[in-house]
Amino acid sequence: MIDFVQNCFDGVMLGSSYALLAIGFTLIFGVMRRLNLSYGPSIMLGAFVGTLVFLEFRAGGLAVAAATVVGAVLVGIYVERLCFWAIRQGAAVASMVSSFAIWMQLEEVVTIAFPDRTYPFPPLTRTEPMDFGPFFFKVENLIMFACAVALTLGLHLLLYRTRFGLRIRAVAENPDAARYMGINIAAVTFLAFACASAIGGIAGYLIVAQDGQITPLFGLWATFKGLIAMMLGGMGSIPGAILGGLLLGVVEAQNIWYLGTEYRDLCAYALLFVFLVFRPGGMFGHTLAERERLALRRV
Amino acid sequence: MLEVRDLDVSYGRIRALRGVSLDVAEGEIVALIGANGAGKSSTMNAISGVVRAAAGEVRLDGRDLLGLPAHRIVGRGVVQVPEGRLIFAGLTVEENLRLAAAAAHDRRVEAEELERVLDLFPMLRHRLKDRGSNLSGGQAQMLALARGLIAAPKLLLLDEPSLGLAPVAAREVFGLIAKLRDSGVTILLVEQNVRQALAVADRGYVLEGGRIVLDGDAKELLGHDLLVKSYLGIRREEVA
Repeated sequence: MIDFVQNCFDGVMLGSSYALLAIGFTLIFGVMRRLNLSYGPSIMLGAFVGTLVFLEFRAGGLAVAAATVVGAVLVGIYVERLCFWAIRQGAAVASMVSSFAIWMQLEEVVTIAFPDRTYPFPPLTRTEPMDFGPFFFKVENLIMFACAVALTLGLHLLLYRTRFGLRIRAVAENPDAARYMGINIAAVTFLAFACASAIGGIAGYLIVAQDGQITPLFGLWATFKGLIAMMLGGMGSIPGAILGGLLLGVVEAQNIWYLGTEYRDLCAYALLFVFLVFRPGGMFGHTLAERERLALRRV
Repeated sequence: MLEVRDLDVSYGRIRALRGVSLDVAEGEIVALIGANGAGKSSTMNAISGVVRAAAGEVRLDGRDLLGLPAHRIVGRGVVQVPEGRLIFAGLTVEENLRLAAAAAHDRRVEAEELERVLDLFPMLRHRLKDRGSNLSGGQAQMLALARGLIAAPKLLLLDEPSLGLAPVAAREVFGLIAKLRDSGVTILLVEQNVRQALAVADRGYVLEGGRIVLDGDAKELLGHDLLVKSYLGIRREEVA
């Protein structure tokens, strides 16, 4: 029982990083109704910028974090211009396919620029784990969890307390109506994309700092975890992204403990499969059919 | 105030508008009349920049509007209340209004404008925290009109404001348009309810197959043969 509870704690901490990845994903999907498969790889490239700063200048944690976020945002903007803005009149699937092509391109760039593949990344902290009665917590996990909570609150305030957030929500709900309201849709989309990339960059920094190393495969990993967590919660829903991330984290943590690390990713896919069969819209989302019904009911 | 000259609009190979010219003077209500597919909405959408015109000129107070992106045209003071109302169902009534106000005003003016519009639509004051999805058709149209007015437009484009409304709600909408005219708002009005549109308008244009086939004083148009035969006759049967 103590093991199970401990796993739940660990899972929530792990899941908070998935939740951040999923929030970035869902923000982009919510505003554009388009999937950005290059989301993970752009974070990966940001992390390599962080590594570069670390190796070249022996920089501390904060500078590496800043470099990672700035790198992720710049690459994110590159992806947005190429895969979304340039073909905004085209079909949504065209954006998805081009974001896949850019993913491959980004991986190639990193492989050429960083031929050793695995590079060190400065850890968040070297403090010993803390004991709370029968449970123990790693300090870096607690930092990650705290950052995730703070970022989520910040995003909530941005979306519900500012004019910019109101515009994001309007464009996400109905871009046609937003255009009549005098909203510059291209600008709102661009800024929302940049925000999502920044959130992804912070999430990426926290995760990679935990691992203590970075490889080009991180892009694939981040896209998968973010995508799965988003789909569990419901595409386009921010509460869904948070819950989806936490659920994925807890299920994985239980799996690692009871079945072993090698089943970690397999169980993530199994969980996604179960949801796709029994609740395709996720916990908070609507299926496409429901969405259409809602649109018709719209007064 | 608004001058439209030789406006052409095409959707792929379909030509929706062929050389449409019209004028709206300050303080005037001008009705745009025609059957479904005659090009009424295309004319409006081209003026508001939502649809790109292939050729022609659109000027507001002598300044060119054509080719500007839609949000810049709103900034110039031309606001469209679109067909189907397009209320944000997931946003509250207040958020719907503040969103529209933000396009034209800074924060300080926003609160005043909100008050001004709520005085005009007292019904909305009690529903500020309700979501758009909870409004009836008539209430949603009132919100759509309020959303258009809160940006304090020089020219208001109303696209089918009474479409799909119960007769009582439609009467309310026309009553409001009359009230707006008295307060000096300039309006270009597209309506399928020809009789009521011409009753409230100063002048009218009749569109057919993407061309203006008739224009004139609203009272004269009401008695015109073409209109009586094509539109008012059918209307009369429908009403009966």
